Amino acid sequence: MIVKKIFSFFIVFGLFILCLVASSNQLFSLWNTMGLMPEKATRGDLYGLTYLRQFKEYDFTEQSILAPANHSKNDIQKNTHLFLIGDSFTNSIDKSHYIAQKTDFIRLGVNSKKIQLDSTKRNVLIIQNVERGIGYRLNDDQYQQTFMGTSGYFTHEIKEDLKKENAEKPALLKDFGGSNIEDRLQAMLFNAKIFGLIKEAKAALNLNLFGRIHGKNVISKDQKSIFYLDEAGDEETVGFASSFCNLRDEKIKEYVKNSEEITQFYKNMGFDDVYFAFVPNKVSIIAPNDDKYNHQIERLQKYHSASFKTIDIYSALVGHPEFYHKGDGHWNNKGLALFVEKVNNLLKKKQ
Amino acid sequence: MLFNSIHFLLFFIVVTYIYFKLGLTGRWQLLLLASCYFYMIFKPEYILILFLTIVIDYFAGIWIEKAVGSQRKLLLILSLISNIGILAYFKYFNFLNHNLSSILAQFDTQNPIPFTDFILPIGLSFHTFQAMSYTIEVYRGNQKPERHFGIYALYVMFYPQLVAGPIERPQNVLHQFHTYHRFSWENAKSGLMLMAWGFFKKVVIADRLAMMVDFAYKNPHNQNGITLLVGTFFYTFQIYCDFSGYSDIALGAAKVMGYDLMENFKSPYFAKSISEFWRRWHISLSTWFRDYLYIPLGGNRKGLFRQYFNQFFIFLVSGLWHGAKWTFVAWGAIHGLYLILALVRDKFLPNISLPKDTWGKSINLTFTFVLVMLAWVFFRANSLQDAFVILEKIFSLNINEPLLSSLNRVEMIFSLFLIAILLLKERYFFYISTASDSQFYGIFIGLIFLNYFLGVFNTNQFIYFQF
Repeated sequence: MIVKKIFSFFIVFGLFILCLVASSNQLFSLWNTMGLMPEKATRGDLYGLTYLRQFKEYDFTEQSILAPANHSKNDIQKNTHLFLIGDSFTNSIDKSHYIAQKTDFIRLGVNSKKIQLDSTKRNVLIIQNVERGIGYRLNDDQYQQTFMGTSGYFTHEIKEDLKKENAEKPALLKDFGGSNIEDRLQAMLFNAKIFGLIKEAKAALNLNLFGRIHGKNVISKDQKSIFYLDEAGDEETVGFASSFCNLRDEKIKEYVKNSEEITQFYKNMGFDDVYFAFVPNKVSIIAPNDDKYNHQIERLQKYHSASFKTIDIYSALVGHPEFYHKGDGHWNNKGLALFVEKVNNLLKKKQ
Repeated sequence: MLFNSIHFLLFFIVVTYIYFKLGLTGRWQLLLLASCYFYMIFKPEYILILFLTIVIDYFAGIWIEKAVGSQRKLLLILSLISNIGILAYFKYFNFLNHNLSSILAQFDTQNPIPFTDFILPIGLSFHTFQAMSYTIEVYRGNQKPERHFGIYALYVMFYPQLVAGPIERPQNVLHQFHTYHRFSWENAKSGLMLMAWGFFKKVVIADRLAMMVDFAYKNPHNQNGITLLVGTFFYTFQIYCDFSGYSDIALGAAKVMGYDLMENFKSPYFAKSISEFWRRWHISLSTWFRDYLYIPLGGNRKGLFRQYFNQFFIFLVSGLWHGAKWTFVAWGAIHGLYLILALVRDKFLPNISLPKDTWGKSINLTFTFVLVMLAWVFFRANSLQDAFVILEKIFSLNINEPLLSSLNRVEMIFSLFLIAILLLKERYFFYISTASDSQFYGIFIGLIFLNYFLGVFNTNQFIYFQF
């Protein structure tokens, strides 16, 4: 009897601790670093939503890691500093892969750090943007805030007030509160392998019986690929993020105008070269014929009067679905390598 | 906190476990603390509004008892004005202001009153009405004022029924907070079973039907009549399963701890008249309006015309209670009209009625269901204009039109099967028996299994949370 009482006490105490940890992002992070979280095998973000076994990539981690950089010391462009503003498509690339003397990466929408330019060097800025982000990052309402903020990501010199801005906020102020409690509890309780199998069973039932998958995903017509709803949904649901939205010429014109303004802004700041690199949505490469593809990237890159420069990634990817993960919305190490190659070729080019 | 969340399940287990480990004093403290946490998960600062209501009505109750003569009435009126004032400010200010702007615009005048931009405090209408029932009952002498501030606060805030009812009466609940409830396996079984069935109604039925309803109602101008008819039919069951599912979970959670809350639904779609429907649907609200508004207005004691007026007025207010939108007012008005027409028929054409055999009852039941279903169009539609478009398309539908749906054929048939199961259960097994342990374990585990595998988890809030 006493054993039963002690057992039930510990169970309930454990649940209480779980609730407490889940209600704070900091405690949750601490829980994670203490190794208390059931380890979730990484099989791709889309798999992590749908739990459809056919999109499970058992070698996901290997497929995501770029082979170590193999360029020689002679390849390093001694007078070139590379600055990258990018999203999750380029976030994981180690700086050593680029052949610039110095490389800085700023994650769009995440980092607010400001970096000082060295005017004695050739400063190259590359703004990488995934296709589904173009619509809401380069539109008239958003482009200034997204790419230029109040004074952009970079500066001529770091003044006292910028030092303060760059300083980390006190940890206590970071995301403290009740948001995302449900997601945290899900992660703490149901990441274990056994639950993965149960989730797969439910996902299979939903797909095979009801033809439904997770609400944030879309399955291709041939049932062989999955995509984010954002990139492959209809315009009414997801707006301009979708590869299949009806993109009028006026919108392309708007994005071109804003890209030019961003270019000029950074040129005025002291950059020698500014390039945009538009990474195609997975659906634009793998299943562009599932609906009416709007060819957003091609239209932007080939806009007749555009004066901003681009790195053409789209053309290199067309016809190469193998550059994307099966169970993830991003490209794999082949895509990463292609991006690095394109950037390094550009750095080698003398202006 | 949403009932259909892991967070709630853990919360419920922890709170219930600690509850049974504590003495009477510890229990009300725990429940009050837990209820604050439950409420503050939505938007912490809104607890202050709730606190203000509690303080006003706590002291109003005590002062009303002490006062004599007209002072008692004055105190009651002041407390009601405070409660309704808070409700009106948070729920109806923008609605009234918007309508004022529309009227002024007719005269090319701009409305100088600015709009507010806060989110409606969750469950405000529910706990305001519950608080008002307390002061009214104290005024009427049916309830002694509660001197214990903590217990009174718990009466308003008791977490199972805090945000979506049932709207309790002090006579039913307050004394239960003063009672020490021993753990009862029978209570635990019936409470847990009620919760499991409530979850089934919410996640398996309501949230599944919601996918079709949302599809049909999103842009009714682009839908055909048959799609809108099926969407409306599904909504009729969606709203029932959503709301009664919430009530079941609330009643079940309270029952496990030994508390009996009032029944809120009694198979409303088996009603054979509109007045019977209202004796079976959202009982705690309809009896609230009956006891605190309809009867004080004179009820049926002041002549026929006055009775019709009172009836209609109550339903207009009931519509407005649901939300600050003309669609809700129209929904209430339609039910008011239904009831007046029934009263007129009973008065002037008493011989016109169907035979009381099975066929007659079935026709009455079907007719009542269709009337209720058509009224739901106004409740669900995004605007009055949409509601009229939907009704127009339903009444002019062509049977050869294709049924468009966001659900595949299998899931459509499965949805109909679920509706049939629901109706059969309500008709023949209103309560799931938990008398035998083995039967309890079998059905309870089966329901948990079905809830997970057949549940639709799109973090859909309960519809009545918005009220």
